[in-house]
Amino acid sequence: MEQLVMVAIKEEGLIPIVEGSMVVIVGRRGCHMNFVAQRLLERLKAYPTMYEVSEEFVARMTLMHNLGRTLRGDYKTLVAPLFPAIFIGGKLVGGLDQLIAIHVTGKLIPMLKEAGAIWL
Amino acid sequence: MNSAPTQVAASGRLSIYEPNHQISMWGDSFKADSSQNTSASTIVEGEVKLSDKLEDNSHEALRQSKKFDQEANRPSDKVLRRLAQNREAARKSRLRKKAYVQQLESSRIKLSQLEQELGRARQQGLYIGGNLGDSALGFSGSVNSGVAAFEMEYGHWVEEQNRQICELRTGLQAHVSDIELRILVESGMAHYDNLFRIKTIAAKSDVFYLMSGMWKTTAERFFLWIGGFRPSELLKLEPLTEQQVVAVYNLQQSSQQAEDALSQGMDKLQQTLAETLTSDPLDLSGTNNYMEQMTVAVGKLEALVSFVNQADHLRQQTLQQMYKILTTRQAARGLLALGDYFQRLRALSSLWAARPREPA
Repeated sequence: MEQLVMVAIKEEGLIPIVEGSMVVIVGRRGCHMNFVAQRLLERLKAYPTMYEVSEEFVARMTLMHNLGRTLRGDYKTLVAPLFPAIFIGGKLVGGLDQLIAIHVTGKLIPMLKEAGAIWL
Repeated sequence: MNSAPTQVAASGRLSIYEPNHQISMWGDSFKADSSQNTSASTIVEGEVKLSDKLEDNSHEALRQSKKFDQEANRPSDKVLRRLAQNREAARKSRLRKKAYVQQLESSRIKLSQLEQELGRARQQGLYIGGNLGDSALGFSGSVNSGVAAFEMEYGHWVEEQNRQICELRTGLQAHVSDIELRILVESGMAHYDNLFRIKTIAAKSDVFYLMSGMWKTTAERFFLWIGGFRPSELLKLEPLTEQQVVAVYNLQQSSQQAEDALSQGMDKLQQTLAETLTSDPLDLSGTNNYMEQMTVAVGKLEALVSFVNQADHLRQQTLQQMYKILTTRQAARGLLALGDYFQRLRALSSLWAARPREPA
């Protein structure tokens, strides 16, 4: 899934954006999960750059994602959404649930520090 | 032809003549005694007395009948009224009885309908038990099988949870080995995973049902946060080593921060939904606008599914991280404390429902 997102990001020419800031949230317009990720990161004093993608982009991505899953024989009915996609230090971290998971396991703050997004 | 009239005439004559005949007989008897004056007068007197008496009798009879008539007339008003009232009362009583019987009949029908529904629901495996109580009946008639399935599974989950809590308690009190405790802890953790799994499925089916907390008991509902308990409630822990204190503190912090972010997201969702539904009522752009707004609003409500999923995910992560920080024994105690806490909440709900109330 991550590969897919990266490929799509490249195609869309979003690499400069993703690599241009220490913390980037790429999300659908009006999605409330963008907001949740943003509030969490801001609470940690990391101020993410918010980037909106079009619905058409999301549709294409979802289609590719589902094709990939079918090819792999992955028929799970419950799949995490592709967006928002969070990047720290230019690297894809994942979706909101990944962000929460690494925070709860204590890995988020070190990652942010390493990326220079926060100090102390 | 002749016979008929004659007969009549004859009978008529006979009847007429009879009294005369008798009178003449009397007369004869008078005549017989007329030789003796006194007797005649006596007889005459007797006759007079008799006729007087006759007159008196008839007078008396008349008076009696008059009196009776008066008694019937004067009290007859009252009596008539009373009779009418009695009739009225009887009629009302009959009507009341009829209404009562009809009510009984309809209640009987309703009861048999409810029993049928209950039977059907039981057949479908709907769990109607302790912690669901009345709320379950409200859903047994609903078409949503996802909800029914969830209620059943959750019922089983609670039963299994209670059993596991008992095992943990007896295990800790009996000071069983760490290996055995570990097994208990791992099944406890897996059990929570099960809960989150069935909740995710239910969220897809009916997220508002999950968010309403109707599947939980009343006291648990008081603490409801995005369709479940707060992750911060999980961290009720005592004796910890210094290292652990730091780790637990960090976990509490992270968990709380994520919880807050989700709460803020929910607030924002409420806000934007309200904004979507608000419009100028005098706006003349017509129904197009309305449909657009509604479609957007429906789309926004979909976000609730994500919120419930993320909240459950956070609960799960917090539990798992707690398990990593603690020793097996501590984790066992932690799980016991947690399970015990929820058991008490459920018991509180029952007590609350059964509390004596003053009549309204």
